[in-house]
Amino acid sequence: MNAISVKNLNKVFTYYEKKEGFQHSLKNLLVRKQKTKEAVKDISFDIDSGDIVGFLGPNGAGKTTTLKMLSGILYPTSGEVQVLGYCPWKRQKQFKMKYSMVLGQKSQLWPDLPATETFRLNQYIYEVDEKKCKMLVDELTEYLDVKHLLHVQVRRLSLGERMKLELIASLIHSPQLIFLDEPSIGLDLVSQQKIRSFIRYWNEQYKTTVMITSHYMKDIEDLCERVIVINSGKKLYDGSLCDVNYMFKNIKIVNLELSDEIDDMKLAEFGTITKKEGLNCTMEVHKEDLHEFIGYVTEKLNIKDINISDIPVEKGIELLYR
Amino acid sequence: MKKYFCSFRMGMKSEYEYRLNFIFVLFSAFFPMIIQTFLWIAIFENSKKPIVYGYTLNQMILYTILSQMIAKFLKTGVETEISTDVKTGGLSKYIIKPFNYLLYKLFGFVGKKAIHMEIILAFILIVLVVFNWKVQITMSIGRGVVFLVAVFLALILNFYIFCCLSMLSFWVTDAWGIFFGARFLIDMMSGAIFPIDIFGETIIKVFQALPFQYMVYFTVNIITGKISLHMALQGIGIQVIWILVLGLLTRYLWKRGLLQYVAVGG
Repeated sequence: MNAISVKNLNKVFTYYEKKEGFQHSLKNLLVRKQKTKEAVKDISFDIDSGDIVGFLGPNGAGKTTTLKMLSGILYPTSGEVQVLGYCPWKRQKQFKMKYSMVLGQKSQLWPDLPATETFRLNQYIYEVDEKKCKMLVDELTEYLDVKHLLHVQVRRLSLGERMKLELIASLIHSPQLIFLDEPSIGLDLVSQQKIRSFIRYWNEQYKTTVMITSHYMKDIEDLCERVIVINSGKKLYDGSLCDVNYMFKNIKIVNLELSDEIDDMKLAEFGTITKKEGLNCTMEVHKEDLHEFIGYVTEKLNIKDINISDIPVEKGIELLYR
Repeated sequence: MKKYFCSFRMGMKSEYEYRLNFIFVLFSAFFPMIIQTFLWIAIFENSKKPIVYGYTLNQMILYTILSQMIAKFLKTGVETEISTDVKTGGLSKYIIKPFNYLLYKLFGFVGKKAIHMEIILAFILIVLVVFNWKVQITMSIGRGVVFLVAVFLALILNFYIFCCLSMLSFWVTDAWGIFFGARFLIDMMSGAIFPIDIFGETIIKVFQALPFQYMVYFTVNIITGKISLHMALQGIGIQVIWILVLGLLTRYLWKRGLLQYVAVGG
């Protein structure tokens, strides 16, 4: 069954441009040129229930805008979306009861009160049974090691501590679907690791569908088998993470260890040099030129070692971002 | 319904953390009170009449003090909260939840005020006892109860007035200037600065058709005994009608506004 299905989704924002300087501010008072930005262009995809899907893209690619439309915060300009069988922007109560969203940069906890108060509020909002809620909170605080923070005023917590509690607050109603927008932003390595293993555990335990955006490659590698990559509003890639480099199957990475110095220009004839340190040289070579290149290297150059490999996943994603 | 009571309790608790703040707010009302008291003394001395605009000097001073305190009690700040939520995109986290944001805000606000209530009632009682030997105050338990009901309704009325106003922020990105002007106007029209009686008949008629005077002027008059119990009950009816009208208007604007909402940031 599809948890999410998106068809030809579009979102256009209108805004006013303001150039630097007071003069332009004054000008803006009189005439403002309206500009439009297509934040999301014709995106389609389906997500099976129970999957963890990574949603990647450089800053400003339209990730959060898409998530906002999927969660019903924004109305799309055009397109069809079904999330858990509902149309999200109709904002039906039954729909809202079934999903949850963690915005890494927007806190839902009351800053002046300890986190338990927000948990209680959510318990009532989502009409969760008192006992069930207590058990869940116990389990989650144990797992994330935040039991001692439950009774501290939220504004006194560190970012990482708050983030963990934030995650708990959004899981109180055991949602079928979770949108995580940069859940690991600003966290230390141990906390990132903890949140990752927690998301994995939660997904396995409750078969929850998870859609996650993150700029930490490790998050994505650990959690997602499938990724969707978008850039400037368009979908570029949709498939398994390890196949990202398949799109760049025509490019090979060649690692050379030379025994003599050699002119860069000669090597550059066959491909682009990405790194050169003394006698160590890394190059990107097109598949078609590979045969010729190897011939050249083995015959004309004195090499100690040669290593030919595919583009690594991380590099593949980086290339997509460009 | 439970969720809104929870919001009420949380409003109460978070305000309790900063309860001293409200006492300072009340003290800050002290200075305009003194300025106005001297102003009225000067006006009464120059007019050479014992009664000006239907008030004796002592009655006028009593009105000034009570109106300032009640106005401070009713003060919401909900308009800045909502417009900040809209401007910074903080509203997003609320609209994905299965509850009514406006009711949630209302209950949180009333919860906050429940803490202020005790402080303000203590102050009012002290003021009344002190003035009792100067001004004839017709006090009865019935009047006290009517006063409490009227203050409570005034609180909700004030909430909806500012809530309605804050819906502007969906269309105007920064409505701070509008709020600032509106706050002053509403203060004046509600009788928080002077009793409405000084404005002259035509303007009084206009004010009567508006909800504002039912917040401060009306409630103060109940407790000082300037209006009859019968009229007080009538006024409470008008308060309820205004709350319904503004509540519905706010709801309508809220629905229209959400179509405009762009959920910036994050």
